[in-house]
Amino acid sequence: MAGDVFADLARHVDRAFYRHLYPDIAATGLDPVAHWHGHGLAERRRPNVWFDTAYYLDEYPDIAQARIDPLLHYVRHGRGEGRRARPRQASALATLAEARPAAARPVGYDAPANAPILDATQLAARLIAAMAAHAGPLARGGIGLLVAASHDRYIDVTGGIQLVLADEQAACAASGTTHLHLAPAIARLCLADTVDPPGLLQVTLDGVFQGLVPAAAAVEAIAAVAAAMPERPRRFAVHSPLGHRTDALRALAEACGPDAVYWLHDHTSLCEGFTLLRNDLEACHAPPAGSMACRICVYGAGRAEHQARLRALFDAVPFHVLAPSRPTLDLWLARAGLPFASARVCEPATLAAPEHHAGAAATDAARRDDGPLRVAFLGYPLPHKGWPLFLDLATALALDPGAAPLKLYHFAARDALRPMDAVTSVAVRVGAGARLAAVEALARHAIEAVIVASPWPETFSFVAHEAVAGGARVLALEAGGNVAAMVRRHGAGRVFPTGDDLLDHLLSGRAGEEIRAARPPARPMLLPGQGSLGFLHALLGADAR
Amino acid sequence: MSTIACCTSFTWGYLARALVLSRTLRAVHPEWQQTALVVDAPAAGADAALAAFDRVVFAADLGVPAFPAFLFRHNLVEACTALKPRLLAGLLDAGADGAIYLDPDIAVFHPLATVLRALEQAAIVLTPHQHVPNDDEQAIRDGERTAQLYGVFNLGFVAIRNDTTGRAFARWWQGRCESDCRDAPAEGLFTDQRYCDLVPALFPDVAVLRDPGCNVASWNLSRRRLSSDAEGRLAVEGSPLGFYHFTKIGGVGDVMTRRYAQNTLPLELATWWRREVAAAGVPGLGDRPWAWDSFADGTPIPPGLRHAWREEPALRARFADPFAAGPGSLAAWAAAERADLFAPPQGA
Repeated sequence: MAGDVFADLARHVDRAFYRHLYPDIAATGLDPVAHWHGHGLAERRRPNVWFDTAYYLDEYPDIAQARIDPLLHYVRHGRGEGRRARPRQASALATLAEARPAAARPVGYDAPANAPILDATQLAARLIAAMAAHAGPLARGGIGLLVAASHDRYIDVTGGIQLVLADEQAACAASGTTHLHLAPAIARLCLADTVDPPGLLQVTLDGVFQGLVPAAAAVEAIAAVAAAMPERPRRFAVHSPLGHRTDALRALAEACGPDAVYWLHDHTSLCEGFTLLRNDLEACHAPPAGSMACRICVYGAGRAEHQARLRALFDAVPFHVLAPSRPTLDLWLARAGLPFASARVCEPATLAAPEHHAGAAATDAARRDDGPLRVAFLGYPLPHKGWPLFLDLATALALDPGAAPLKLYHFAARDALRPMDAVTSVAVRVGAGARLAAVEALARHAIEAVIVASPWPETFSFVAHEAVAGGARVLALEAGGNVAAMVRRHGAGRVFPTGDDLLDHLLSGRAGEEIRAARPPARPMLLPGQGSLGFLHALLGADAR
Repeated sequence: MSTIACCTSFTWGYLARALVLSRTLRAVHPEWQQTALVVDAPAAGADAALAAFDRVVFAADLGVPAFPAFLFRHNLVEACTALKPRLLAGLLDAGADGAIYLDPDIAVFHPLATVLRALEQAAIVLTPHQHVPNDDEQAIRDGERTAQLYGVFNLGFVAIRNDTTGRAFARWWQGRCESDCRDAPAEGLFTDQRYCDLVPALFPDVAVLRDPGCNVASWNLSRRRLSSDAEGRLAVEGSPLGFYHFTKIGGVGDVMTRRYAQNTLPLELATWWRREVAAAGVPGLGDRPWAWDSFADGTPIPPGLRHAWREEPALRARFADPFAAGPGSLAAWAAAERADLFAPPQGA
């Protein structure tokens, strides 16, 4: 390879990307630049995130026939000739190709292998033992047993609903309340009413996995607890109905007594497509089920039945509806048309000004205002979290490194990182034991802006809150629901009409100055909430503990 | 307008598309009478699907003089398009106040109010391929230049009022199409479509329907931006999306759609339509070859022989049934005398 060829390719073959995408090459220890030029291009491998080799060779047969390095051709000539490195709307087409109703997706097996199957008597015995272990009488208005249902085993998964459940369980532990969590043994992102035979539930008691139980046995066990310990009231909270049968949720609610809670952590109660993205692409605003937008959407055909099942559940159970944010509640009140006992905003976590909290980190040693602007993406690299926009930014910088003085970071769990030469990958796992891991990592790396470009009405967004608590400004989209709302409410960043506007701003060269000028002198604190318990205690007039 | 008769024309290969048209049209205009013209031989197993239409006509029953000879002059697309004017004229003769043709690869979304209004004010309603000039070189080439070769108006849609002018147009168009309905743009012909460039000159009371919501297709997406509002209504440049024409989706139409889509909606519509067509498919019919693509013994008819048949009166005089096989047939003669016609075309 001639020196000038190597130099041009070395600038555009993304070694980290190539090694991650092709572990076979990484294992050989070959330099990705040499492998690409010698073999990879003939094998139609991808040299980086923005160049689609197969597309370029198919779209421009003159290049394929000339048997020249297509990437080299593009950067030296093709780009100037107006050729494209990848199809128009490439990420939208990829999303569309994958979009399908949840029932048509493969089911995820969530329960650990060889988990014991409990019967009603065994579960009742464990519940009674756990409740008895909380010494002394309950405070006035206290709750003996809080039964919570969601779509997966929260203790082993990182995500917003799981964090709320972890906070709820921690609050229960502090209040003498036993916390029983039930998740379907087989993870499905749809209601499981038509699944036959009825599936098993995974049991997590006070944060510790116990095994599996048939839903009917769980109901029976709760009834047995009620008979054995009538002085310790029970309550029920639905954090997500997905993967559950609605008749089972109803039976659990009835076994637990009054004041059942239903959380709007996502928009499942409006549509099975719980992000309210038509075909997983564009915000749909939950139009009427028979609308044209629903007809052309993959979630449209099943929506009426999904809504009918939820209506039957809400008709039977007078839920107290808790919305993590005002925009979520407003949307639900405008669109759901479901009966409810009460409906209110209940934030799963709050930002508190540092001056109101002694001991808050007012400044950070790592904080600095020099060099390129440090911009991050935080969390799973998914389209509905705005990852394609972050890739577009990385691409713009790769093609024109002088476009703007920016340095890019990605913070996520190790298996969710997508290594690229131009992006600093930082592994971070947030969980019950490391609640502020992301906040601290952002502060440690002195991140100044976090792109939270969710294109759907986010109900809360821990990521946006973590970004602010980590000392960064949030760059959001108008369609982003509570991300946009919290940015405005806290003056915590900037909201853009479209993704292109956001990119234009970052690439304009003025973003750094504006973001640095707007950063507050100290980071606010991110305070966890109590899940359903805070609301229930207020409702029941519980004594503070 | 009190009675509207709407029709489409297809072979078994396009039955699933026609069923999507029928269902989507029925949803917004249940009062319109739907007629299907099947330009194919009757086939077992089709009756249940065809019940979607109010009336089904087979091409052989349309009353075309010397029908086998007529068919032999045309390939599949030419035959389907050549019979449209006769079909429409028949609907007018039967007393419909207005007759509308929609291609089978069209789907209807919202009521076609602007079409009905245009039909109240004009005898003939046409939709142009493009209604706003392009300024990008490639879009000019793909759009305006292509329209200059294949026709200014897209004849996937036409509406005709049952009055003197409307009937005169239908008769004129029928005459042209039944005498020469070829895919030969270099000669100034493109099936039934190119003739209609003349319509605004030859007839009074012609409406060029410039509603951006009507006949949206990959060939005009460069100037038509689709949107969806909070109530789930689809619109184009602010007008309700009346009907979308899925021209060559699954082929070159996909390339054009990706090239000119201004947001994700055209991609979503195309994906939705392909899904609907797949679901509407009738087993055994969708992949059935066209009945008149081969001689009676199943040997494929070479395109060159259709051309020769069209151009040489002596052949037409000598062979009464050009589809016949066996001794004394056109097929036997061609195999012996004109083997060159059976050679694959150059470049294939």
